[in-house]
Amino acid sequence: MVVLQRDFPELVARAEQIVVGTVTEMREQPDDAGTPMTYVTFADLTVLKGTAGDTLTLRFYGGAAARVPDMPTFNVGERAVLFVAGNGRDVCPLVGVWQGRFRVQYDDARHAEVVADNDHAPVTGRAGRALLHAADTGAPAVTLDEFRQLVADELAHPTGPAQ
Amino acid sequence: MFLAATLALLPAAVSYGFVCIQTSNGRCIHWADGAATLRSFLGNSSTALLNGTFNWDQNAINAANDWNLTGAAFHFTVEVGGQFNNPCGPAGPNHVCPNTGPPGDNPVFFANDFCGQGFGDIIELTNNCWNSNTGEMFNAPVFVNAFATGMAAWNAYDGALRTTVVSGRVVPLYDIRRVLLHEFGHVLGLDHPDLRGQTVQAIMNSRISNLDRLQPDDVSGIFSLYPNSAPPPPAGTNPNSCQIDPARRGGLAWMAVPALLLVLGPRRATASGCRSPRR
Repeated sequence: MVVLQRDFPELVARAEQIVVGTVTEMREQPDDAGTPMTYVTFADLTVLKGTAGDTLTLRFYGGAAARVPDMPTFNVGERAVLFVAGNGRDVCPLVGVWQGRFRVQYDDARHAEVVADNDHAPVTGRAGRALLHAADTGAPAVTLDEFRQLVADELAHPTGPAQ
Repeated sequence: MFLAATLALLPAAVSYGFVCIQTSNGRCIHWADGAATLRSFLGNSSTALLNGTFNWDQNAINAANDWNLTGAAFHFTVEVGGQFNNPCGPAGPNHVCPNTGPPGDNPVFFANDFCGQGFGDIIELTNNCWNSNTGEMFNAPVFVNAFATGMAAWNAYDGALRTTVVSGRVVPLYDIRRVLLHEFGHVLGLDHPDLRGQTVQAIMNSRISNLDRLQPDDVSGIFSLYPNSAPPPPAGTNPNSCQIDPARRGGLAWMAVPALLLVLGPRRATASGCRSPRR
């Protein structure tokens, strides 16, 4: 799979919804055309952009019978920040496919939830249009609250399209 | 037997950067016969492409030939046109897996969506289909986003990535040759090393970059899946060597390609330092 590269302002701008949530259910069910689909339900939601009910169910193409490599996968109980677009329409309901999924993990030493990208690389901040990672900066991962602030700042003052 | 033993002993990534697409039981997916036939339906372009070619199919042929020229025990055959078996549909008599066609059928074609599902931000998608126990591949259709929404555009060129203007907006201009080179890596069973925590120079990385030719890590990847009796030297042992040299290795690989499509466009130095003779 080759995917359009999306920077942070684009993730925020293109998302129809931005939510923080916990996976509570995963279900495989083919659609009416027999296409395999995996439905991932998130609860305990914090909505940063758009609207959502008490739960949000995202539809991903594939399942055990048809697995597309690099399609984001989830486990019940894990938490994530999701930049959602095209849910129910597209192969993957996340902006930039794996780029629109950020993992939220609890850091025992810091007593805080911290954020990493889909590939488990800790997010350490932002510089210009790009999110920074630990490999770049050596800094600790941002907390979830700090990441939420990055999103809020971009929503309040959009950077605009890349030149 | 040998291939199966090699795959069983070789972890996905120990001293190399590449990774294979794996079955749920950890086997690398692969073509049992070390060969796959691609059928290109990409067709002609309305104007000459930036790299001097005149049709999209030629770029598919050139991309497949790059993999063939590595010398690994794997061979792509590329056919142009012919019977198009629509891969879209549930698993059944004409679909080995959901949204793939009959066994051995690997069409490469432009599409406005992936079997009724929007592409979203996906530029190209290879829908590999394999035996869940052995990892033996049945087929792998390649869906190329036709960019009907104008979010990007296609051309064919070497070097740094470019942009273009579509409907007054600056959008990415993608080089179809290097994107197909990447997707054909998925067809033969390779995955994205950078999405597995590895930092390598590779066409198989998840992000399209200024790299426009196979890198030593990619070559190591195909050799890991399809070794022959003379694997390439480890990357970095001879900075002056060129592992991909069409002038030396072209003959046998080209015999499988329709004769009228043998002409390759001009080539320039690759990021790895390989330089092929100018035509």
